[in-house]
Amino acid sequence: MQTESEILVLVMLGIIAMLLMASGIIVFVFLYYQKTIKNKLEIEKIKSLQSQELAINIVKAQEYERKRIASQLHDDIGASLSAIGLLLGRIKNSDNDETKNITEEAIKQNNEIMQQIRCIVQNLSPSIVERFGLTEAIADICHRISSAKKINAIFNIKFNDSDIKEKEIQVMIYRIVQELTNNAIKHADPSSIHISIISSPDKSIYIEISDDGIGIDLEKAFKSKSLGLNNIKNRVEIVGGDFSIENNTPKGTKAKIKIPLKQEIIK
Amino acid sequence: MTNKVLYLGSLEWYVFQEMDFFLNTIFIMSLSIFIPASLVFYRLKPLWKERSTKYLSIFIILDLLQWFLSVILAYKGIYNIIISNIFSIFYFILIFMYFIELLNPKIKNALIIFIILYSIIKLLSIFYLNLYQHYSSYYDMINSILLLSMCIYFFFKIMKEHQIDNILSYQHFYYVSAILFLISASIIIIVFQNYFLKNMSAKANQIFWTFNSVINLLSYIIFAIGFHKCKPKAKY
Repeated sequence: MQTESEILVLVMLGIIAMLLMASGIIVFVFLYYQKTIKNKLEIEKIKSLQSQELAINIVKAQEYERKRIASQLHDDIGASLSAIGLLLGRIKNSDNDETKNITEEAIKQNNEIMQQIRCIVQNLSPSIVERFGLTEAIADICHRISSAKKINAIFNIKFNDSDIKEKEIQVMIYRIVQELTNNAIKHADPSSIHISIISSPDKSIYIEISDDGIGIDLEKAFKSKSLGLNNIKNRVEIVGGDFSIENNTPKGTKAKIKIPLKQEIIK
Repeated sequence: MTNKVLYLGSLEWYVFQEMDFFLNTIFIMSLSIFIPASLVFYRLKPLWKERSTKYLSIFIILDLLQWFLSVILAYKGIYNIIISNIFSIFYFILIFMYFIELLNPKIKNALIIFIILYSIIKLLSIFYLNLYQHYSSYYDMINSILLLSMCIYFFFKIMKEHQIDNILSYQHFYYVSAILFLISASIIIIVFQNYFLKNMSAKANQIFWTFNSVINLLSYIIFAIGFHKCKPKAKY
């Protein structure tokens, strides 16, 4: 009996040891996997924050370059054109009719060029965003569209400039609105453009730009470099947002952008 | 695979029948086969889509069939160890095929040849060596060691490849864990089962086979969790 109970105890211990070994293997695999997944998520989070910082730096670099070009255009070329205008003004009052006509034509063209340069400088360097904020800047876009292009531009706003702390994000949104409205004017021949910017409780900015034009061939649009849609898409995605564009009903085009603001930006 | 129901017939049956507790606990725990079996029938479509889970489903269904046959034979007082010996051939084939489909090992052909040889040798030994009254332990021992290595290889592979996002929703994690539990315990049980049947008292057998039933119950529950994780639209 004693031998029998000893054998029984040994066998039971053997079985328990094997079961403990099996349990140990399973628990080890589970814990290893949890740790690996945790590390993977942390790496992805860091990559996402780095991408966002990269996007911010790209925007900063682009804006700096634009400011520099705008400054040179205004200071160098603008000044030279002003000087040419003055010189032409001096010979405008010539007795020779032919000379007078040519001079007036040259002054007219000079003024047009200066106006165009002013527009380019204005587009390149949106100091309006830095000085007056995003809301005023987009209202300015709507005003210029309405007055110059005779298109009905409607701006629906449900956010405060203070909702977007980073100036670079404000400039990015301004550029996106600028790009999409320019595309609509150039390619869609609309009679009205609606711009909507809404700040939601989930700490995201929702932007919607729609028009009643001729619509868009989505496949061609993303292949075309002139529309810049891929640039917009890439910029939005780098900051963790979403960009979509579709044909509107009953006609026209609708672009929707979501930009999350909840991630901390690494300075 | 070890026998789930210990009804040996005639004298031993009479001896065991005197011990109600023994009869009740082992028989009741042997009913645990219905847990994974019912889930197999419930999730038959998604399980049948993948070859590996198909083999496992057949394994559970055969286990259920073996349970029925063992109970019927035991009730009639007929030795039923032969059922366990014959069915164990199918069990090992199915579980080996499951691992071959899951792991796609380089030694696939060698394993298939091994399975064929094992089946032939075991069948011959059952009918020529008269394995009606005791288990064929030696062949099962080799199989168990091989299967144990395959379980460990599976875990090593998933840790190395990192292709699964959530291991707790990966059905094969549960299947292999259940097989690992069964095999690791059965290595000891296989060695001692014949010795216990022939040389140990009824009470010792009671404890020994109750332990076996508990391990089976645990494995069936883990299998059932795995079958539950196999949802119709799951990728894995």
